[in-house]
Amino acid sequence: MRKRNLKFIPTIFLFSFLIAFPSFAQPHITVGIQDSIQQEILGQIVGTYLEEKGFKVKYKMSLSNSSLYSALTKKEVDLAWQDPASVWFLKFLRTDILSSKKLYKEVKELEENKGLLWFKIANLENQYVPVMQRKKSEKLEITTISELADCVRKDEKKIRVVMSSEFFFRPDCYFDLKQIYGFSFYRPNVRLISSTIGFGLLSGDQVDVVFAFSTDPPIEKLNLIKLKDDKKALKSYCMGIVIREEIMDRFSDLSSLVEKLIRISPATSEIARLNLKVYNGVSSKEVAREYLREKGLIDIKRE
Amino acid sequence: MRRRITLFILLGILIGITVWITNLEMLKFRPPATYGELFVRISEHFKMVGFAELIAIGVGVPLGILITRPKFRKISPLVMGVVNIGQTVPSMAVVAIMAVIMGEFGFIPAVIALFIYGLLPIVRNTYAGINSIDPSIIESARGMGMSKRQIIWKIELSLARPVIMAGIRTSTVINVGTAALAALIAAGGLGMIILAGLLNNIPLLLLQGAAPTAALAIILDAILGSIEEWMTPRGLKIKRGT
Repeated sequence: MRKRNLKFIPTIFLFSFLIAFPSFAQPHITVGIQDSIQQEILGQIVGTYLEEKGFKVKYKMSLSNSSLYSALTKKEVDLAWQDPASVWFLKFLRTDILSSKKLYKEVKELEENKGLLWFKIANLENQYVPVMQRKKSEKLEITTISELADCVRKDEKKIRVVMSSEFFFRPDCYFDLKQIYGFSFYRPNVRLISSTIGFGLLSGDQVDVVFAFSTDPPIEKLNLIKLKDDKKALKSYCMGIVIREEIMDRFSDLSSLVEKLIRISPATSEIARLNLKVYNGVSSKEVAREYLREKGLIDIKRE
Repeated sequence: MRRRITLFILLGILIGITVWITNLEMLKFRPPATYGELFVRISEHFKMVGFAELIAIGVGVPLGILITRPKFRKISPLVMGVVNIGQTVPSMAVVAIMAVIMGEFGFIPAVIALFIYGLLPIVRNTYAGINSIDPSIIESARGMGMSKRQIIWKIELSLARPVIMAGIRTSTVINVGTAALAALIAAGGLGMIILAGLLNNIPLLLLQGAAPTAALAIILDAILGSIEEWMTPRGLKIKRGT
């Protein structure tokens, strides 16, 4: 009987050690990464750079928009790349459509009250674009969104669409598009899933149009055609880096590092090239490292 | 009777919630799914579960019978092990793996994933139901001069029917829930509405997808229950106190 009781003791020790273990960990920075190739590369660029400079970095991958917001407020994520437009429309639920500059300013002010600091990445822009298969577009004679709108108006059940649910619910995206072009898709034909799966459906001819980011690698790889936005309905917004104020205060040299990073952050044309590399099978970590080396932020000798 | 009334009340609440949200004028920029979309998604959901269950019954019941035959009894642990794998892998992974293996998205991989996921309860219950029959009953049937086929149809299957049907009902109800995950591989269904609500933080939309899913599970279970009642010979019905 006594022997049996003793057996429990090491188990209890082990458990308590496991539970208490995270609190022994040294201070680190957690980088939040959203669920797309581009976000992964951008997150890895920041993370790798900070790692090289002696910080301990952890990653939280594949966060959705809304889970990233809550992770930032719950202090589970310290640093992340974000699209100010999606914060404005989906986090703060604003419905007024502003210019890129003004929207960034407003978001920055709103977020500062919540202890989140924004840094602007001016040369990196996010823009949605509808894409089609080349064959299909020739067959239906659609090269612009106006022609797409005409086609939908004629026979609304003909066109099957994939868009991300963010695109569907953001006031400046699908709602605005509907108003400016004066059409709307037949709703049961609209599938709200990520564009990554949308490209798979597109090549299997299960859908006709996918609303994707202009820098998505499959567009080039699958030789898809981008529909021209002839009435300028789809806006583009710059990206930003968000850092929690506490972290900024704790690591005093962080701000200078981030500023250096912003100066070399990839432009819209460059990120498309990096995306394609990852899409072809190179790991995002490797691509980020190579990019930093190209820009001279990491010493070649240390590798 | 009392059980049926509770069921109807629950069903009424779920359908009421769905109708209420669909009619709701939410903020202009957060629209709920329209009736047209809702019906399409429900029919997609129903089709997925229906096809998967039909295949699972068509494969599972004969398989369950087969592994109780003396010749194949030895391989029954093997079969159960293989079928078990379908359930031990998380449902989301089964759905995703199927899409990756087949290299395409949509309806067909979703049905196959649901089939794999729904197989275990059916095979296991068929196996257990037939195994639990008293051997002396089968012995006496053989003594009466029944052929092997007659023993399967008239003795084993009729006596094991409640257990087998319980397996089918379990598998169907589980699969209605699992089919919501098929939205991840673009197979549509009510999961698409749930997912849109989840990703954009719109709780009402979540509810609009979840309530009909639950209602569908209840309805399908009730339909299968009445089929079971209809199939049971009058002599075998046990009178339950109401």
